Amino acid sequence: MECAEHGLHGACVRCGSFVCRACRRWVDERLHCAACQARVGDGPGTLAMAAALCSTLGLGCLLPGALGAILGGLALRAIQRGAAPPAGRPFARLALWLGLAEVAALIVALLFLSATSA
Amino acid sequence: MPKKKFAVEEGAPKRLEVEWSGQFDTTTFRWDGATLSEHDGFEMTEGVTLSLPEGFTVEAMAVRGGGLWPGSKVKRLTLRFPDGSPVPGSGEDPREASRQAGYLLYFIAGLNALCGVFAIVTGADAFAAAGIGVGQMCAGVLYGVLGLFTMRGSRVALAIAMGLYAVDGIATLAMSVAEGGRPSVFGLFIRIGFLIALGTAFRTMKPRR
Repeated sequence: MECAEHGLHGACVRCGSFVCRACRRWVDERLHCAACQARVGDGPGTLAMAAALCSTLGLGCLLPGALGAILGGLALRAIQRGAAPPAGRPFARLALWLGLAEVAALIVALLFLSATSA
Repeated sequence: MPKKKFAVEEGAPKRLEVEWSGQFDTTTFRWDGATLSEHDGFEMTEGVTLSLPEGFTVEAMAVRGGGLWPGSKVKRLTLRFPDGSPVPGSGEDPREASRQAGYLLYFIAGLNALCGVFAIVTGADAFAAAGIGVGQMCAGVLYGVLGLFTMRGSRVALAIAMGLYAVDGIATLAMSVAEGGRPSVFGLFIRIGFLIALGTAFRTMKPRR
């Protein structure tokens, strides 16, 4: 099918309505209509931001890093399912890896302290 | 040969592929894997216009200033639409610049936190004498928070982070000299390099008029 004005057509992956090239929007490499793009949002979701914040705070005392890693993993799964805005992906990834690094640092520090105190 | 893919619309699949050798001595543009055009170094320096499928036009150019120092002879690729706006994901895309600057700030934050943890856990006198410990971990959190806001596109956060990082560097240098030590030239170069990279990102994040 082709639009008389703009030619190429596609269908929104969310609502199925047809969109022409001039009206189409992209979210996470998938075709959306303007209304669905607005519904999905173009900012990072709350869960991804909370995860990133926890991992960031973990830079000071390591413990919140574990929570950041868990929330980051959950946020990534939510994004994959389409339940959270894809714009949160870099934040969720950051939270996951930073959180895991902090957990690893915490374990190494505890092992070192227990070895030196023994 | 290095290659990179770009999307010509925000969030769209990355269909435009650029592959180059050396200082863009030979550059190949592909769309969905099919070769569009090949250009030598001279053509890339002059700038080439790519007519892409679906009516898109992109202007590509290899310009100086790809290194850490301003005016360095290392070339970088600029990809722009005819209206002057950058192709998403290219070096001049404000979103990409804020993301890269944010990651760099997180790297600085991680280094600070790591130094702090190491100093506290080992309890080494050398670290304590240099003032490294809890303060370093607090600095790590601060740089991290500023990195988070920078990733969200805040130029103010990036400016504060750059200011803090510069002051931190000057203070470290002054302390080192005052205590009769020899400042690390390598460390100084790294710090200046980071500041230039952050400054470049700051300029790129400037909203277009």
